[in-house]
Amino acid sequence: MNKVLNKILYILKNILLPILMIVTIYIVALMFQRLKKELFGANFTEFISVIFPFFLLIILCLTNFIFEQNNVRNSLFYNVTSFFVMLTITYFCYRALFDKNMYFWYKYGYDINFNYFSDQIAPMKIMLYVLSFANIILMIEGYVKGNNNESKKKTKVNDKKGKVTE
Amino acid sequence: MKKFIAEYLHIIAYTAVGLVFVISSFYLVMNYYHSRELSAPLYIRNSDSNYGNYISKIEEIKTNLETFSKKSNKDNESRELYGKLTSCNAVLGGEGTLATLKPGTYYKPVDVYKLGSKFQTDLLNICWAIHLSYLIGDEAPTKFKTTAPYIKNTIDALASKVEYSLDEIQNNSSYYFNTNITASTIRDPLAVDYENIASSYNEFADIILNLSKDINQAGGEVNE
Repeated sequence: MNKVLNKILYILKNILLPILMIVTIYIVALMFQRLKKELFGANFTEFISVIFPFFLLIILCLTNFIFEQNNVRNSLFYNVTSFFVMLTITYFCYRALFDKNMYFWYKYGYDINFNYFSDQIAPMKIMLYVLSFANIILMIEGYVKGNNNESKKKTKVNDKKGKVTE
Repeated sequence: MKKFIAEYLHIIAYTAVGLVFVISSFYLVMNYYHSRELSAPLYIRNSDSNYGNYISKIEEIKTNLETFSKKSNKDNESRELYGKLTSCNAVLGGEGTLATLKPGTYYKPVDVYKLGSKFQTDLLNICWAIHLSYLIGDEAPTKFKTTAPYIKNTIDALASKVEYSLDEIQNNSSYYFNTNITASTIRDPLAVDYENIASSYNEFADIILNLSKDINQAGGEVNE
């Protein structure tokens, strides 16, 4: 049961992460347009500071996938929390784009509540950075314990013996 | 030693994950409550006293102005004020003001904001600033010299009151909006803002009503 739940949350988290990154880029790009800031000019570092935590987490997720970091992939608590963070950021984006009860949604004529979204950027960054930090620590822990590539080694040993075991 | 380090790393990682879990739960719940609070619209009752009083005041102003128009021996000062009050009365009953409110329906924060914004653009900027502000100038009619400062003070107070309410509605876009459920049962911000704006409409209509009564005190007999 835990394994199935872990797998589902792991997949959902990995699907939501790039989608949320694209939505965030969309909102921030329009925010910059409204403020007449150059996205790839003088304010590039400001733009990168919002996007970088997403980018970092995507790199780490790819590392987990490619190098089979089982200590991270099999951690239910980490996957539950990651999914929870993605859910929270989805809610932030949803409210910035669609919550018409907030007056600033109408104010600037973009039909996006930039005021609300900019309030949420700091918590978004905190959550993503700390998740990345935890991911790195779990990877190191896996290496120290030596159980990251455990399944690979087991398979190789079993191949030599000519047995097929799980 | 390896086991010891691994244990410590495990504790550090899970503490960090726990911290994120707490932060994300907090933000999710707070945002949910915030959206719930904002999505609760304001119900304007059919018997809403602000609306009823405002409509009856507009009717009374209209009657007073009609009475004045039938009078003989109108002095120039009253005649000038009559013209301005007629324009003002049209503004008071204009589209988007409290007069066109639909009682028995639900109003969202943005609708209440528009009502307050209309007070600023039409009642303050057109009725007061364009038509009636001459009452406080040097060329003001003699009989209004004493009452004009009072009128100006009242208008200033109404402008501040409506501005405050509009600011409060704008603040609902901020994270620091009141999301405390106990506070919201004691004080419903949208209802209070509506009350402030609607009462400002009424107080403004009172000023116009008193002026329309004033011009009727002079000017001779009514010609039927």
